[in-house]
Amino acid sequence: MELLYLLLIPISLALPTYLVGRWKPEFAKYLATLTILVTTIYNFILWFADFTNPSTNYGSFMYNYTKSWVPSVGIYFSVGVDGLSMPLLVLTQLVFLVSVVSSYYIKDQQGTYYALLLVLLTGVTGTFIALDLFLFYIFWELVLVPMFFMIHIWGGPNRKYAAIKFFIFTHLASLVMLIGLFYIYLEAYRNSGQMSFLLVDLKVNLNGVSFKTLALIFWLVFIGFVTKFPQVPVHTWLPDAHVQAPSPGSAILAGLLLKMGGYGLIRIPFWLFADVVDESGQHFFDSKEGHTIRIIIGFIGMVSMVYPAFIALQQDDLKRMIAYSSISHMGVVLLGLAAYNEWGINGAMYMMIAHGVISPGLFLLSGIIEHNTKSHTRDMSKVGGLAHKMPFTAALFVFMAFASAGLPGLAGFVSEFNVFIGLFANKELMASNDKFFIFPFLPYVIIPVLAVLSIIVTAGYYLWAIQKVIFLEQTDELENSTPAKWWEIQPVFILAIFTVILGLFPNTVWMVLDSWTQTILPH
Amino acid sequence: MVVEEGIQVIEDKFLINSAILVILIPFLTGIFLLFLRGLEIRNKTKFSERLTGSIGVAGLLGSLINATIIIFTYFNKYDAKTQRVIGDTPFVSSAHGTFKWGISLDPLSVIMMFLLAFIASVIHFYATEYMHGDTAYTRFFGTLNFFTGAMFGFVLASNLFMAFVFWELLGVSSYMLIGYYWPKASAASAAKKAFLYNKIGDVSFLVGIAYIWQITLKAHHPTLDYHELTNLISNGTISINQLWFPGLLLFGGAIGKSAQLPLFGWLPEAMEGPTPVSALLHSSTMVKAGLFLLSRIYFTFVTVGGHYEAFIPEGDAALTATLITWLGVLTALCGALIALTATDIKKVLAFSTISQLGYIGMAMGTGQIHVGFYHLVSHATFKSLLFLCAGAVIHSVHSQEMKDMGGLKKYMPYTYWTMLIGLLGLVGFPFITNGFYSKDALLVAIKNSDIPLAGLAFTIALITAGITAFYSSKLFILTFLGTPRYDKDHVHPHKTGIRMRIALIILAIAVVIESVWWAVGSIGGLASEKINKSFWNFEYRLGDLIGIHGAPFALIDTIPSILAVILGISLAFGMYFYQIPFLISLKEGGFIIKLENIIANRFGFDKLIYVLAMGPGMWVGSKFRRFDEEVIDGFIINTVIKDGSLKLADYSNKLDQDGIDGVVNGLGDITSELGYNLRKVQTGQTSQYARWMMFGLALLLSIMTLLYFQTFTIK
Repeated sequence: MELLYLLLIPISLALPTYLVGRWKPEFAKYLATLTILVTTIYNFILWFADFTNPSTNYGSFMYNYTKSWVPSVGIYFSVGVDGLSMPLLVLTQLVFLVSVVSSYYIKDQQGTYYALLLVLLTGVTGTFIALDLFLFYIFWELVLVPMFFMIHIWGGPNRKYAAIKFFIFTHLASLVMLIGLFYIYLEAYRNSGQMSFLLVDLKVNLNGVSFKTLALIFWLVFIGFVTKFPQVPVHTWLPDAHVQAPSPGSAILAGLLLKMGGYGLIRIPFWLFADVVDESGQHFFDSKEGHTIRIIIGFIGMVSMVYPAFIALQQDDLKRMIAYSSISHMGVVLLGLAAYNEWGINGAMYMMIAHGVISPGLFLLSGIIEHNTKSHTRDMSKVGGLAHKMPFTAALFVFMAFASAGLPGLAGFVSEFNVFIGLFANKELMASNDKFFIFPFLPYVIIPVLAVLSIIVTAGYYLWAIQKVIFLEQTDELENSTPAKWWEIQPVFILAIFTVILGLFPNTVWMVLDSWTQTILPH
Repeated sequence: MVVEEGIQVIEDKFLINSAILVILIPFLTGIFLLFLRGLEIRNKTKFSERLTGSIGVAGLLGSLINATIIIFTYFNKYDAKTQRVIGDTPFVSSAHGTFKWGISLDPLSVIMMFLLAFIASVIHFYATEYMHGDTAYTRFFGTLNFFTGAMFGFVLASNLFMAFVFWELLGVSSYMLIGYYWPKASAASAAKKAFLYNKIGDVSFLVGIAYIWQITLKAHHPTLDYHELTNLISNGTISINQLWFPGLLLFGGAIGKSAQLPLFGWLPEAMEGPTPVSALLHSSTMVKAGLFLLSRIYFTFVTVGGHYEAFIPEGDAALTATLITWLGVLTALCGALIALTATDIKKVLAFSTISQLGYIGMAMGTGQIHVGFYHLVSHATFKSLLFLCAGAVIHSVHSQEMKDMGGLKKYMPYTYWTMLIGLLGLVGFPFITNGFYSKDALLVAIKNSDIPLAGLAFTIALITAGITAFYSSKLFILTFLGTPRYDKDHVHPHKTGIRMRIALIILAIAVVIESVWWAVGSIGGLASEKINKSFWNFEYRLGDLIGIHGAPFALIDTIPSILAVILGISLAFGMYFYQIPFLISLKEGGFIIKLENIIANRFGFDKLIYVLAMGPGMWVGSKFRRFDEEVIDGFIINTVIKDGSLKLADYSNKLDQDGIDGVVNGLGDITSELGYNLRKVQTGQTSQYARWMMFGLALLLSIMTLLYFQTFTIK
């Protein structure tokens, strides 16, 4: 029941929020804030009640609630959380809380805006807690709709293009993913004779399916998840969507919607196929097919880390730069999965959480800058010397930029460090004799090496941005700017606090993740 | 006997807690001061400098007190040769390997910690007066304390992971300090440059750590602890043949931080920060971090065999040590040469730091870790003194250029004498200075080492010693002697302030104490057997503690360096003080001027880095951006997919109208009526759609809830 509250409270208050907004627009924002505050507090209570005991096995589902929905084909309404989804669930509430507060600048159709925000919250929450493939897909698609409208109505000048691009990209990918999901269902049915969309059933029922089929399924769902993720070459919707979306929308987009892709990728193939063994007792990801998969996703991850980093170096729009850096950081997640050892996978999951608190902060900050400049611009060539007029915003920007660049003591470092440790500890990736079949002259070891070198580029574009925007003499654009208002700066401050906590005391979350990871790794 | 075999790990809560305090007090005071700075900005006020300055100094004094307690307790209570106090706690724990916070108290870390606490306290005290009147006084002390705290953390770390954490924190806090005057373009870009140069090294460091982790993981004993790694080597679980490559990568980190060739370009630029920062950065923090790291990971490049011998391994494994030594030698020479051409007093000192760092690196590379450390201690003391003196001079004449100085002896007697002491140390003036003994040990170490072309390296090191003497004397003459060249109408050199003077005197006393100590240990040791070698002879004692001994001090070994120093000093005096025409004509020869140009451009290393790293980086960036915009987004998405599907839709439309439509037309008439009524709903406004969606959802939800309650009741 616990998780149902998290789902039902926001969705049932969406319509009242809209109606209240028609009557008195301010009340809509207070109602939405209150709603999200309640779910956030509730979620934190759940965390502290049940996710702080190091001896618990977080590999099994807690707060499980299952009801038969469509019995004839085995669809259930089933929700539950485990060590993978619970941190992301808490993150969801947190990011929504800061986003709703920093949306206070919106004056246009407030009722609709906040109602959509609540629907979006339901969608994201549902995606993370759904334990039924069918339900998962419903929530997955539900997220698309409010986000589309948020970009389309409250976005920047080129919002229509961006919204449609966002919709088409992710929706098309979802369709491919849907084929994959049905494939899983059918294979499990053929294999065991049990009709069920329940993840726990599928996990057992898939055992015995040939590895070739699993590989095919992997690539189908991979396309769906990786587009949401997004990785090169299906990433181009992201910079456009971010630039055009209102900054709270960008925060949610970067903080959570990208994480849905990462979550799906870990949950569906990596978790679902974890127990599948062939006759010789070999696990799928240790087999020849799994090996190929890992090398290829490692390669994609490496390209997605290096390539956008270089593009970010060339951006003038602050938000666009941060968007490219998001892609680059998501590449780390894929690399961690490719490493396929505890450091890699833990690091990948931790990166999703760390990036989930850092990148919303950066997007919100760029929003603050945009609202305070004369011509509402975020161009680094025009904005300069921010620290003169808005010292706190400037300080937080420097802080968040360093956090994103992986400064120790802050959240991003923990994950990056572990992913690289994991990558270099992976025997296959370090084999300098094995070459890519596509590029016969490149040894696999190029993956970790190029990836690690891109850290320098990451530091480079952030430092350039800091130098241009924060330091130096003040430019005319900032003439009329005033120090940021509380509802602008406090949300970022909260995120900064979480960045420090996650960076200095990672073990509180890490032990949950590690306990979960041990259940999917073959021993 | 291999010393490591007998190493015993001790748990001592009290000492570990004191060590934690050493790290935390500067950190917390630093953060507190930054918080105060936040309040200042918010309330548009300024706290009194006395308050904030006191907090800043108190933070360091707290560390110094704890460091004193530790150094006395550790050396009295424990046998430093065989006992280490180690305490750790997990930071990130995965099931099969944990990264830990850990503190290790062993001879090297304890001595380094004490040295750092002492020098940093003095520099902080000096800065309270030097920074007087600065608008962001509070921020300065906040960052400076943070910076020192990071160095404490690095020095006391017991494993590579924690060392890396503080290593990076050092980088970022130095970024803040170098960019202290951030509205100035030169300061902002110097800070950026320092951070990026360091970052190149950091990546190498990170990969080195990952390699070591991989190797120890293969040996079923994943660890990053210095202590455990030494154990693994001494019991033969892993060998130096596996470790030399990660060692090389870790050295890559040291290249960046310790400004070795070719990544030294950031250090002179770092002068953009206030002078106390330079003093701290050049003496005992930051640049020493890389060399300290080398002394921590010496097991990756040298083998410590029995009988206190350290030797360079054979085969591939020798590469790391050779590279460290030779880069050190070349850095020493290049730094000294560039210092010759520098005209800015701080830049001369900066390049001299690079040169001395090269010396230390050279000694470390030969495996004589204790010799490197010996010079590190000497250098930290006199270089901090020199920078503070330079700061006093700059404070007085408001210029950093030596051409605007001269004849200051009359006005600033304290600075004159303290600077003289410092420079004598740097020069290594025979027999009476600390620099002489430690430099002599360096030269002996390189002469006796078995790296390739050791003789050549020795010669270069010797020449460098001569050049050092030359530029140091030149600096001294141009600043304090001769006739005043500053603008007399505007500049009135004044006596150094009282707090700055006290700081200078304390550091000068420290140099003198070291000099006496070293001298008694070396010369006295030769003269009389009664001198307690393990107390007075710092080099011998240090070697004893870490299990390596070099050649003992011998007068005959000192002759070449004495000659070089005397030659350097006399040349400088002849050229700049007595201005002998023949010597001046030497300086003005065409070839020399050409050479000077090359040297003044830093042998093109900066340019090389730019050409190799930044240029291509930007080029790749712009190409990638265009590829993204024009190929992926433009061609594939817009042309192929979008236009393609539009065209497809067009064809289907035609097929629809010509073929199927005719049949459906009849049906269409009926639907068009329905459509007419529905048209009102389709207003084409997105917000309207949004509302409709909400209503739909609400409806769906109500139905679902109803159904839910129904099943509930039926059950």
